[in-house]
Amino acid sequence: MGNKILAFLAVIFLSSCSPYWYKPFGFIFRHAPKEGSPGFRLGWLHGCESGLGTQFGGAIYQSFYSWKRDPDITSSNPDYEKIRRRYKKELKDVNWNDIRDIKKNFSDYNTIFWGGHYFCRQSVVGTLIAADMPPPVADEERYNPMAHSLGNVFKMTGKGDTRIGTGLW
Amino acid sequence: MKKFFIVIFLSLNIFSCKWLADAGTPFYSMTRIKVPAGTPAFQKGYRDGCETVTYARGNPFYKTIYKGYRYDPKMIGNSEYKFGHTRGIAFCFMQVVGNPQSSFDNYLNYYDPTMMAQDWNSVGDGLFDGGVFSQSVTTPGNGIDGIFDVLQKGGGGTTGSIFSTNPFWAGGSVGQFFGQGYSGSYYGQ
Repeated sequence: MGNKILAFLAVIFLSSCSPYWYKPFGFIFRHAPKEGSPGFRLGWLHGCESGLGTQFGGAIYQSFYSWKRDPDITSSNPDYEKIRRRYKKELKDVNWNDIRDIKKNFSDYNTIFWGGHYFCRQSVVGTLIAADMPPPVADEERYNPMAHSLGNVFKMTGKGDTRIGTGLW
Repeated sequence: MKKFFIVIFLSLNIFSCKWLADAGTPFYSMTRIKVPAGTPAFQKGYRDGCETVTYARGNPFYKTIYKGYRYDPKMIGNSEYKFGHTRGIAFCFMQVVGNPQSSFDNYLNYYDPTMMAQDWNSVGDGLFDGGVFSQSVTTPGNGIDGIFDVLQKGGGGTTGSIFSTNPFWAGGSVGQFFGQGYSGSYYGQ
């Protein structure tokens, strides 16, 4: 009985997970679009990862995310076979025999990349500012880990927190 | 019946017919953000862009109301939608960052006029825990004593308030009343 309950809880828990549930700020990937072409969805994911890996995410999130834009998809002369092999799972619904469909997916990828990039980098910098840990502008100062705590992002008294009882805004 | 029309006309007069002019203007709920006039594609893009950035950079109030990222993939080739989306992002960003909806109990914590975020380990959690009523009433600068600081010190004084010092001779040896600042030499210029 205990195992059944454990399995049930595990299914419930894992079914609500985002693709990067094991990383800090991974929950933001729950906002990844469920609709749109495969290229659209992949472009958003890559954009979001790239956004979190910018200076907006500070040293903490930059440790877990990095620039992900695929140079082959953005290329003016892409190697379709190479890309198809690289994203077997993500782009499996692309009709690789139809050049128009391929180009449409690549175009969607490049268009939405910056949308995901913007959304995720603003989300992470907003969270850091609310936690009183705004990331320093590049070259402004060295990162001081002693001044920050990951737990700060969960505090209820941050800048702009509007939950009842905090009263700071 | 006459009273009814008097009230209506008076109200319209007071509000300069704003109700009529704004009738049908879609506002975002609980915000001062309204969607500007334009084609349906533009307005949809504007709404989606606004909601995207309102969630991303807004405080928890906005994050509760709005769902998150919005971009209609069916409209990806529509230039009007794209134009509205970028305009929505640009306008609403300034709204939620520069002029956000504040918490409903913000008036309770007047004790912290800076309204700045503080460290988790040193800040109180609202009115009672760390708020004005949890402080010592007589410690200079704290609690109820602190409320009267302005009466005694003016603004940047250094002496205690009426609860901790003599209200008539609060100024110290140079003899000024109510502790107003005195920085020069008494016998000098």
